[in-house]
Formats: sequence, structure tokens, C-alpha cells
Amino acid sequence: MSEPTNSLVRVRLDTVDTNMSRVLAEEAGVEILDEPTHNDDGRLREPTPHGRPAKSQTTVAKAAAAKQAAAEPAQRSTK
Amino acid sequence: MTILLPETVNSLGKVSVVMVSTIANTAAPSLGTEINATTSVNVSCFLYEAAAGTMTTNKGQAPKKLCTVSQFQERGIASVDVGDLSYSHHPQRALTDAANKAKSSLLDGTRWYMVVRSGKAGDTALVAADRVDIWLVELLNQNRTTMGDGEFAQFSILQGVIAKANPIYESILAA
Repeated sequence: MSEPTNSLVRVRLDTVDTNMSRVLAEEAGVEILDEPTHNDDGRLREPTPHGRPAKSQTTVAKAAAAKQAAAEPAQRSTK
Repeated sequence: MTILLPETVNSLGKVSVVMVSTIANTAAPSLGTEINATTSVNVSCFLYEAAAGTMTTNKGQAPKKLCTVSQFQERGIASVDVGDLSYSHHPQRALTDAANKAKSSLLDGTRWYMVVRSGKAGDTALVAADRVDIWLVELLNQNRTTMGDGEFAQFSILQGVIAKANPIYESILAA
């Protein structure tokens, strides 16, 4: 049986994303992010706040589909 | 004038240190969601010495003007320093073993709110309304060494600490 190895990982806590030991993160059951723990310049990443819900992409597809669906019966009736 | 006879507290065994991953309000940390979070580690019984932090303000003298005959000191920049951590570990146990909880958690590069409670037995849990001092720190390398002398020495880890903010003194734990 292989033992767990430890390393620094990026985790998501309630209000911040921060660096944490992998062993502690797995024990505590927090989400481990697939993100780097260091910046491009080699320095450790600072904790960053999160929590703002992802904004849905602006799209006209739904509106276009509804308009199309509404138009189709009318087109049929004119045939 | 009334003569005060202040009550004093023996410090032996009366320090607790909890490493907390995140604290939203350092003036009133939450006992339930922050101090007792699964990501917090009570290292009181791992540490050999109380984690000591100091805040020092430089003092010095500005150049004297011709017209003055006195010179007084001025306040310079302040610096915060937290002493190294020294704690026990078990070299032959897995990282997930309870004896290695401090070693596996206090990894090089992790950042913690070091919450220090003084004046109550160190082997008792923190409770609401406890007064604590809080140091925001980032940890450095974990150096394997021994603590103690000769036949009484124990395997330990010595770890440098970087202070990341001014200390918060006497915060009161919220429920």
C-alpha cells in the first residue's frame, strides 16, 4: 500500500481560495482546485476571495428558439 | 489612593495555539465555523514553546536644526516578527497518523491565522468568549531536528515563520 505524499495544493474554502497541504485538504474534505499554487514569477499565490456566482453567458439563442417556435404554427397556418 | 493587588496567572501549561486557515473577522473569529473548522489544527500539544511574536517600532533621531538646543527621539517604521515554530513529529509514522498532524498540515508555503490563547489550560478546547491574539503568518521550510538535551531529546521540526500582518490582540471568540 502506497502512503499519501504531501504537496502544496490550491483549495476552495468558504470564502477564499488558498494554498493548503494536500494531506490536510483530503482529511478535511475540502475541494482541491486544479490551479497553480505559485504565480508565474515563482512567488506563492495570495489567497483570493471567491463566491460570486458564475454569470450565465449572454445569448440570444433561447429567445430566437422561442420566436421560431411561435412563428412555426403561424407559418403552417398560412400554407 | 487605593492600593491594587492585581491577580496574576501562572503561565505553565496555559497556552493554546490553533492554526486556522481563514478568518473573516479577526476582531471576533467564529468558534464554530473557523476555529473548529476541519481545516484548523490545534497544535498546542505539538509545540515545545509558545509561538512568540513581537512588534517593534524603530526609534531614532532626525538631524538637529541649528536653532534648537534639544533633540528628541522620533518614531520610525514598525516591524513584526514571529519566532520559529518547534514541534514534535514521528519519523516512522505515516503523514496521516495523528502524531504527524502538525507536520502534514504546516507545510512550507501555507498561510495561517495563528490563534494564541493564554491563561487557560493548553489541553482544553477553546470556547466562546475566550480572548485570543491572532498572527497572520506564512510558513517556511520544515527542518528535521531534535528538541531537548541528551537522553531526553525528541525528534522535532524547526520551522521559520513570516509575519504577514500586524497582530490582532485580545479578539474575543464568537460562538
